[in-house]
Amino acid sequence: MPHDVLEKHPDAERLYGMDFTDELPDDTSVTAGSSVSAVDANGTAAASVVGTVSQAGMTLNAVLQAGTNGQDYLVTFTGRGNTSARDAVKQLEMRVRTKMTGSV
Amino acid sequence: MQLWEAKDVVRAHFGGTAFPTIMLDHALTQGRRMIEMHAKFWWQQGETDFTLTINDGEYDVDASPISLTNFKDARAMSWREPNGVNWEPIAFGTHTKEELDVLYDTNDKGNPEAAALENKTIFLYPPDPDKAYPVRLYRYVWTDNPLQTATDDLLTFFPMALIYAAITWGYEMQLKDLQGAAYWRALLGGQPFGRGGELAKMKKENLKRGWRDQVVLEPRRGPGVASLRRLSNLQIYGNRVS
Repeated sequence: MPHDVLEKHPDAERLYGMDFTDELPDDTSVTAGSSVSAVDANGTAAASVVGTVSQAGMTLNAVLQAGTNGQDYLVTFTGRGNTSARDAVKQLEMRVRTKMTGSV
Repeated sequence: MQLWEAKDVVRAHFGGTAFPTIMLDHALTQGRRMIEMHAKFWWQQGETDFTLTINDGEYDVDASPISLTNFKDARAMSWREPNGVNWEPIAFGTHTKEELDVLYDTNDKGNPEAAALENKTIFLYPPDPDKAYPVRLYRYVWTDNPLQTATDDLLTFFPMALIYAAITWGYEMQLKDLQGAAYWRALLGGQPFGRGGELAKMKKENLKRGWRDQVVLEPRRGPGVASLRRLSNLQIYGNRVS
């Protein structure tokens, strides 16, 4: 089960922040070594739906953009702690729909 | 209907986030299995070409050179000369393996004349092919759901069948609500299961296709001698009067 689910129009760009405070208790921030990647429902890499990635304290931010109508993307946020150097992973399911179902 | 649309309909029955997507995928996969268990449907048909190995008359369908990991059943086989262009039939399924074992010696050589399927192995007779004959296997396979933004005959013409089947699976496995599952199961296949609902419509369509393409009816001799056996021929049902 992903940590969060969002539904997005293909034309919309969304700045999404994933907080790693609970997963990396020994750290005060996530480093630039953190990453965000995405695959579509067929398991194919979908780098184009992830835009600019940035860090702010314990939050790893990514601009989620574009996408194909009907596709479900699994976006993986890998946050690396600045002190522990441990990686924590949280996932987001992004459903791209031109007609929103409104059920999320 | 594309796969994602069917997914969204099933999701709508369980709540947008209550049914994990991975379980939803399982539901749709098992739903398709539930449907395909009921018949050999037209979308499962296809053919696979492979080449025989000299002196090797046994071929596992899920291993090289056939490599059909989703094999369901065989329909027919044919062969041709290595450089030939004419396919010749192989008598497939007309005799059992035990009958063919008796009819052929273990070292008989030649082109394939007959074949039998046992478990997942195709046995060719004579048992030792004398050349690397190309062979064509006409078969049915268990199919997978199409990609997320694609469709197929099941989803295009009978999408509700897959949706009902997936919801049935979800009620049983996710909600553990067997009474609820029975409702959706009845919509899928009626009662007794398979005699009504969407499954009956699909099997009717499947039979119509098979009737036209595969079944050959031969008039039988009997009360209506030398006449076609049809409803309008009353001689079939009564004694000949002349």
